[in-house]
Amino acid sequence: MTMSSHPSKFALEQLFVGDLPDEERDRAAGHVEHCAECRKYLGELKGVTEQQLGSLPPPFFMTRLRARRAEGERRGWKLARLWAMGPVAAAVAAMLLLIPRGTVEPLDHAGLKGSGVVLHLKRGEQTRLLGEAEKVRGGDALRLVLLLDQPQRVAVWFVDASGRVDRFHDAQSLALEAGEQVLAGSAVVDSPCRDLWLVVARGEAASADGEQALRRGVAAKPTSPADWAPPQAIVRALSCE
Amino acid sequence: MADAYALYGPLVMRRCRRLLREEAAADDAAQEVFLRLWKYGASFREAESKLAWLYRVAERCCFDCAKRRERRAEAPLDETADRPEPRAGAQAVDDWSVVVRYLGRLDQRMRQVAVLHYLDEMNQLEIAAATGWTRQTVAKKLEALREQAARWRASLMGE
Repeated sequence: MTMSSHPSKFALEQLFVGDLPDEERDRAAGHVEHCAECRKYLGELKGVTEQQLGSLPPPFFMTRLRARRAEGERRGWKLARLWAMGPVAAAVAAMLLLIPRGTVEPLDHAGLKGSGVVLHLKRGEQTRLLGEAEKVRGGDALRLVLLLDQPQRVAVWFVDASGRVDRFHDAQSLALEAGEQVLAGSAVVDSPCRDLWLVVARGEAASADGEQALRRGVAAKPTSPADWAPPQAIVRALSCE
Repeated sequence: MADAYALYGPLVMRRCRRLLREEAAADDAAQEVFLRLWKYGASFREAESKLAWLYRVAERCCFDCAKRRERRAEAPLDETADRPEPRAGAQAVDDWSVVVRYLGRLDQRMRQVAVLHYLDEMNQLEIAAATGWTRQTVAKKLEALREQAARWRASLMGE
């Protein structure tokens, strides 16, 4: 590359992510300093990066990746077991693998076995996965990722220890496809913080009647989820620091 | 991994979108790239150019997807996906917009040349250095690619 010719777009992309060896980096950077066109391209890369990381920040992307990897490992385990069987048993087991997705057990995800919900916490400028036993604080913003093994309607509420029930979104319930679903919006924890529960109801329990039943149960015994949790709901307790 | 995604992820996503011209398929392919990074991390760490490693893996994932799509006779859906703004001029833009539709029909070497030439805007010498081929081989493949693009374009326009 000479100073009078542009670096290739690939070279500029390498420069952008710091992938060039020192000498080439210095040459490319020296060119860019005097070239509006190449600076414009680097600006585009910066825009693309900001947009992508804004719409799918690293914790969300990692959530998807782990789920996909777990699904792949489970399939791999099933295939490994097939080879260990005799030919007839293997053929039967192979047929079982063709059973529609909705009839197999719920997705395991990132250690939250059976729960099907992942919470991401934004505190200040930091966004990260909320640990299972981790406590929350007033002002924390929570984003929800649901993992569904089949298409279904869901409704999401937050119930706090005082008996208050807040529906997470405007619609009574959402019709969602199977797989990973990132719910729009964030829930902000009150200040002062009160212990609360995240409740995800599915199917019939996600209806208006289901919500009324939930509210009645919470009004009677606010701190006893065993008494008011809808059938087959996902309930996640969130304690305050 | 999260750091690798933060640094390289957006460019990998962008490349997949430009190769597949369909958001969902491209996102899927990009995830596959990082899954392979997870699996073959040692090879990535030893690579002279991390970005080149990721791009080659991305291209393989995207080409596999393009082949499957070609078998199903699906055309790329997103006609408004961003097109390259090449310095080479309008002809290069036109050729790429045709070639990308039929990526699945090209053999691996031709696909590699297409991507390095149209997306990365490498010249013949740079492509030769990236692939290990001679400049003459690269020149012949580029010529063949342009001729093929012209035939596909004619076919698309019903000539």
